[in-house]
Amino acid sequence: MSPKNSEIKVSLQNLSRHYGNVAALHDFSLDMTTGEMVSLLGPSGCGKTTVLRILGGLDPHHGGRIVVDGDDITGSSSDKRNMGMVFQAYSLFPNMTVAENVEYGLRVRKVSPEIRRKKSMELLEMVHLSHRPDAYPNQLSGGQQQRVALARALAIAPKVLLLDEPLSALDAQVRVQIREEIRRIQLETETTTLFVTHDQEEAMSVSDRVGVMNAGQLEQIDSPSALYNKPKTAFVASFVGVTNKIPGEVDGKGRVRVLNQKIDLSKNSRSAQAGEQVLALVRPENLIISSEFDEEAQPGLVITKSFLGPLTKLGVDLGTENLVYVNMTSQEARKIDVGNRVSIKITSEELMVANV
Amino acid sequence: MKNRILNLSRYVILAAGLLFFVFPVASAIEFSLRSYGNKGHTFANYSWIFQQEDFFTNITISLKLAALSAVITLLTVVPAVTYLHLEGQRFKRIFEFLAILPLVVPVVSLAIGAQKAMPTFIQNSQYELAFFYVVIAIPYTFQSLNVGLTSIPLKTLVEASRSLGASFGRTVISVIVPAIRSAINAAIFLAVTLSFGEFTLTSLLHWETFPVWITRVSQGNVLGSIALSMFSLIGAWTLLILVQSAQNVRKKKVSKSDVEESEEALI
Repeated sequence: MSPKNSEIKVSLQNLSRHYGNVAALHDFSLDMTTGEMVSLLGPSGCGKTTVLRILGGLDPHHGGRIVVDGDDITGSSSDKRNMGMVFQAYSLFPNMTVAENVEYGLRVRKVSPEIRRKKSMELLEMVHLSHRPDAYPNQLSGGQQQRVALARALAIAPKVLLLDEPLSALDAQVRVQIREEIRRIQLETETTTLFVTHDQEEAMSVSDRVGVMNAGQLEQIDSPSALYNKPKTAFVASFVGVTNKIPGEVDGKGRVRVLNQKIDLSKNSRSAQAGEQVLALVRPENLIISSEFDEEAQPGLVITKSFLGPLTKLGVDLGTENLVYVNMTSQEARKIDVGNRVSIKITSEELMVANV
Repeated sequence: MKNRILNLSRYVILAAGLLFFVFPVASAIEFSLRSYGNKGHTFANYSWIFQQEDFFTNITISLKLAALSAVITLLTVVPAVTYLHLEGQRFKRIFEFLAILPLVVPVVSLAIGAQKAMPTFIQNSQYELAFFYVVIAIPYTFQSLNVGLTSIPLKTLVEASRSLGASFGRTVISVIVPAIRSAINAAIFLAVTLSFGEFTLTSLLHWETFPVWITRVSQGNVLGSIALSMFSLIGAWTLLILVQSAQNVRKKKVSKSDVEESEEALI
């Protein structure tokens, strides 16, 4: 899923960044189209923030090329790039009021006070803070501060909006609320946005495309549903969503023998030799559980039961190293309790495998 | 009951602290108002100060040196410590060690070494003392600024300002300086008070400032010397209170548009 050349707004080409001998980023390329919201997702230290900082001009010591709107901006400093940034840490200027913070970028651009005021009030309206233009940052909650930071970043009509884990310091409820506001505003303003986060739910819920990074490289970039349902690597399969790793063995016909079943090996999976011991990667929703005995299914013992609202998650001991997790509707889960003997079956037609 | 004891103990501690501070000063003031031969209290010792030759010359030079030290601190130490926080984190420990050296190096060595290191045209001017005073004050000014800069998310603020299109100069003036204003004020106060009261180095270099002059003229007048000490102490306090009040008034009165204009004029 790559954008057409004519639509490309941002093109990051073969970016690399080394800290001494350690490669924080290696041959990273990404194209973004106008108005698109792309999230970079990955574990700590995978290089996602490095990409964002390089694009924002905050890290000049990198290899590769950056093209925005057809212009090569690789060598230009951050103040010349016209990119709005919202940081993980609260970054409002403590000596300025909310309105002054929002107007700062416009003041730098010598925009007249009347236009500045009008623009800042429009943006504060957008982030639902028009009633607090004269408050100072220390009088605002964390969520309000991040909303002001968003308004401030948007005030300069940025070519690209860069969001560096802006919600990670907020509590869960506020985080959900603000991420939805970010998406609404991003769609309203049609601002091309790069969003860096380590929260899968956050990335999947607001993005047009999500890029999963690992060890300084982009493993896969795709729509959230494609990423979840059709992972191209074992890392993506195990990193995105919950994945059970169930021991199995590859047979001579390109199938995996797992939980008393034989299931085709996915074409995206790594190649495996006949007789090789592997870990089959199975999503909880691709498992069905029954309290009745089934010869073709694997018997197990329910060890944990977690109520998650409409769904209930069961942890089942199949005699393997880890518990296998199964999701089922809470309605159905009423019939099964901790300590019950159950049978488990895989419903997927194909599987990816990882090394043991 | 427990709260009452706690409140009472607070007052006792406060009273003890006040006594410790006020009693010696009050005694010194009382002593400075005595007359020779125990003939009651008088302001004669204070009027004696103003009758002394070179009083105004020396107090003026000390005030000028204090002001110059403050300016040098503002122009050199503030940017240096800011730069250290932004770009030189790995050298921070070394600089923290270097910053306490003026406390360790004997003033005699410092005086001779610093004098030798100065360009000739400054060596012949009393204003060279301002540079030495800045060095002597560094252990205190560095720490004050260090604490101030550590207490704010400096890097993020700078990056936020730069990403919004501001130059580094504008970022320093519009964002960093206001964010650490109290630390800068404290550093300047320390530089001013240390320069105003410095005696040893000035005396070793054979320059005469207010503290050196006080020592010289008071050798023949004990009561006068105490009056002089009180005069300089009260003078220093008044100066600090005036500076602090001026800043508070400025903070309240100066409109944001004036600040904007001055920023734009500077950049």
